[in-house]
Amino acid sequence: MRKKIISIFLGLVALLSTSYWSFADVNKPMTKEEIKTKAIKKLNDAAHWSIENGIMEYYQHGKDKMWIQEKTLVEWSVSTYSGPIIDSDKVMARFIIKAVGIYFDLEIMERLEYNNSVYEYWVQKVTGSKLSGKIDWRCKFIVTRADNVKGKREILKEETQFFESFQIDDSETLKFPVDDLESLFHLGAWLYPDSFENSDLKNYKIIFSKSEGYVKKKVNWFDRMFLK
Amino acid sequence: MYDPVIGRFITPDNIIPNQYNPQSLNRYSYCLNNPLIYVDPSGHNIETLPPHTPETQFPENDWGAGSGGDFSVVDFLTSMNFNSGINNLLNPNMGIYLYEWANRLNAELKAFSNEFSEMTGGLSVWTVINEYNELTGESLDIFTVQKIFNDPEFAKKTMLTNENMHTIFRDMLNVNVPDNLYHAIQDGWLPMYSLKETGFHGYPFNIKFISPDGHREAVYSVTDWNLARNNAFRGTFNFFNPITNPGDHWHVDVVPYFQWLGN
Repeated sequence: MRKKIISIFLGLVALLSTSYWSFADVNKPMTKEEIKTKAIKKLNDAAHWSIENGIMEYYQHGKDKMWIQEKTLVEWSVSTYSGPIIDSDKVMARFIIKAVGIYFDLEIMERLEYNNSVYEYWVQKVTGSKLSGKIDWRCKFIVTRADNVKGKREILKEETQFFESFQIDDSETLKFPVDDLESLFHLGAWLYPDSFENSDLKNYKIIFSKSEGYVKKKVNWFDRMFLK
Repeated sequence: MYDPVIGRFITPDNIIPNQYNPQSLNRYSYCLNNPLIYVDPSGHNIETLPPHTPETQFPENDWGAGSGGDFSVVDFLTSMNFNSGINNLLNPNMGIYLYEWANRLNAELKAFSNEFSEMTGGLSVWTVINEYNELTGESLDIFTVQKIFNDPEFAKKTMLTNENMHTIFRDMLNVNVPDNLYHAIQDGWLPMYSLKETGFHGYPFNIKFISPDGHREAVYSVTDWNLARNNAFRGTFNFFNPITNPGDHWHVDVVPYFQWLGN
């Protein structure tokens, strides 16, 4: 009889301990590092989906800006700063998604139609809050291919270091428009020098004035102090 | 006659209102044992509760816990006087109280949910709470969110004691901004030209705009009128309108910035 009581008692203790641990796990506050790691993983997944499917979905849903938010929020807990910007003034396609104050700004910088396919050079920049400053990589450079402008994208290349061109085949190359000052202004290479280790672009900043338009200037030590 | 100790009517009904309804045959039951739907003021015939329109649903001062305008769950539970709770729980009208309370709460939360959606350009408050809890591991609830918007003192205390609320939660609400400066102007967004306002946002290439109700912020590039692309801070959500309510805006939205050294 005593053995039976002890067994039941131990069983109950074990059961209660297990329950306590599982509840404790659910309500355990996360550290900043854990929050950041989790958010970046979700942002990455949402970014891939946006690049691969965003433009195709946009043409299916029309200009209602809520559809992408509903998708990213429900699936990854990721918000959208604005609705998708597609075929707008000076923008081919741009998605700005965010979580915990970290923004992923995805934009097509160059498009080439070749051999019944559409090739695009995307830049994914991390901007925003102080949390984002601690991310190992600040930019991603991505090349995609689609059957047509409104179709689903396939990612062909994805790097955290800038590359100027992507060889499609022996006779065609997709090139980033490195001579176009407006594109360089939007790229903002001088703000992300770590992502341009093998490029001279990080040493120049592009400024804009009403009288002169876009102007290229060498980055000096004073600029560097603020950029760090 | 009703005996609250045993929780039963001790005097039977002296008529059977509907002999074809088996529930009516029990002359000791109240409202066919369904007080959530029916009332029986005469003791002889049940009546369906009146339809709950906004006018009839929450008459003023019928709860003894503040007027309809400042109802809260806590006030209601306090008014229940749980020290003599057994009597309350045996009260046959309890079901009606709970029914009306649930309706009232539902209507209040629905109104707040709609207001929240307007302030955030279409976000669902429930989705945001789920998102916040999922990303931070915290347990934010809708009552806390509602109180932040309605009680500046509570909001200030929350923002000063919980960094995630000041940084992460606020940022989650700053969404669905117009995609370029043309659309911002069309939608009535207001430019914040001053260096104090725009200095943090990449001046002079960028200008900050705020939504007509003062809650959301967006930063646009003056070079091509699109949303700014550089590393500048892109604005965040204001719980209180900086133009119409600068005092509360300062204490709730700005002061915590210095406490946590950032947004």
